[in-house]
Amino acid sequence: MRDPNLELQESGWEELRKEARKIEGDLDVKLSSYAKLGARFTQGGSGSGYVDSGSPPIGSSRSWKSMEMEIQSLLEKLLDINDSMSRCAASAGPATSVTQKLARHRDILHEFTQEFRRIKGNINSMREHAELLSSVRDDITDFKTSGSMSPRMQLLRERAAIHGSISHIDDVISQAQATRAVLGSQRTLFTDVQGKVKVLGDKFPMIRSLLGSIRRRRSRDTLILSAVIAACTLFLIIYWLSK
Amino acid sequence: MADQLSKGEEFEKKAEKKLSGWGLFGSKYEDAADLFDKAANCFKLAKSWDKAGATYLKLASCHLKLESKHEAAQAHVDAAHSYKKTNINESVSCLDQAVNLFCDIGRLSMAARYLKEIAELYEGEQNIEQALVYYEKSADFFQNEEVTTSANQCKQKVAQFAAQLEQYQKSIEIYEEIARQSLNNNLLKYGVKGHLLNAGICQLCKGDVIAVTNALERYQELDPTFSGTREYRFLADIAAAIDEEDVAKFTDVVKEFDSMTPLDSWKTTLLLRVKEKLKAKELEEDDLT
Repeated sequence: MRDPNLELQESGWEELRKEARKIEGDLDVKLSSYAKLGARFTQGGSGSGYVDSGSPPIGSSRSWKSMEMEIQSLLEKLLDINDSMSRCAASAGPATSVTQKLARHRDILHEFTQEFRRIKGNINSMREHAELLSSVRDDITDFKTSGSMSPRMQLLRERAAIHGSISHIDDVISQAQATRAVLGSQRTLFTDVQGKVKVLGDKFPMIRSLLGSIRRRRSRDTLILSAVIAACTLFLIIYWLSK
Repeated sequence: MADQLSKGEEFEKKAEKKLSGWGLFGSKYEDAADLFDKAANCFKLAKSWDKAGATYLKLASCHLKLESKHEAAQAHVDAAHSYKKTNINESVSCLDQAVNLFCDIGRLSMAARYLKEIAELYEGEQNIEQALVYYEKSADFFQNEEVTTSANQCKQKVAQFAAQLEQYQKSIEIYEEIARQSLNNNLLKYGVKGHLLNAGICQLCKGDVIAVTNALERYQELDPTFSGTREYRFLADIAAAIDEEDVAKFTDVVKEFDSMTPLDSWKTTLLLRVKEKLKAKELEEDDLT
């Protein structure tokens, strides 16, 4: 009776696993092309100001959106298959290799989800950046700024670099302050520990007297028990002799 | 891994037997807690995160029976760290219980730290509303314990997420407060223009040019050196462009600033909102004409 059930579970598991591996391969390929599309979108965005202002952003946006929806649906499908494999593994019974493979598949799904989210965030940032800075007068502005404001631009760029250094210094100072706070809390903890140890040392005589009292009580209990046993034994002997 | 898994299950069975049995000598909860701890360790070594989390929750129940709230809170934290790899919702609920226990025993700094951890989990899950709520709680607790640096870090996160959720007034107040505090600190006062720039961008998003002008005057009073910075000129030029409803001028100002200091994605998002609003207004004007 068990053999057909086990065979059915086994075949279902293998089929699900095969499908999961196929989707994982597809996801890997699509994520790579998605990342390349993001890089191309950046170049297209910068190029659209000079060469052609109409079609490349729209075309890139369309293919980018369709690719994103494809990857999203594949991730959802892989999640469903992982859940099905989980249920198969639970019903089939405890098997270590099955559990390990299931954990491996779950890790792969988690990795793909994280990577997709990161690339999507990057592409969103780049697209917003390009959209914010694009204008119909890009070429005129570029010509004007590159032609006539060279020394002033250099000075401003240098000052921006100094400001960037100041920001980095602020970050380092924040880390140092956080470290100092943690060290302070550690010192407080050690002070508490020292106080507790001192209190425990003060309590040692009381503990010693307590132990002595326990020992005396235990010996008294032993004596009482011995007396009771002796009395019962004596009573049994007397009863036997009189009978 | 197989050995660790079977060993963990064995320890768990022993612990359950201890709990179900009647303890004649000593406390059954203490013994069960010890066995649950060993079982959870074995599950972690076997990479069975769900089982480890569930076992840590049982350990927390044992410690609560023993009236050891600190150990129970620590067990909840361990459970949360185990669940973090598989189940975010369960992890958040465990940390929530740990925070409640730490509040009961008066360890507010640890409660604040784990509230911040919950907020970071929600941030990773792209749940901005919940991340904002927990960062706010964490900032309050850090402020209560006078840990100003961590409180300010959490407040900056609150301001960032509030602006993303279009709660600009809250964001403005937080940035201005942080700028005011930074002015009193010799180490941090050089970063004040960054905070004031963020506050100014949030003012621009509100769409009130008079409020922006008043804010800029207030910032000059706060920091006399601010009026000479590029950030001030950037905000003033954008306010002028909005006043004139000139999208081209707006774009030129932003492009010039971006060529010097590249804008991060948060500023880009907010400035894009301002530009969209300006474009819509300009289109209305054109239609009227």
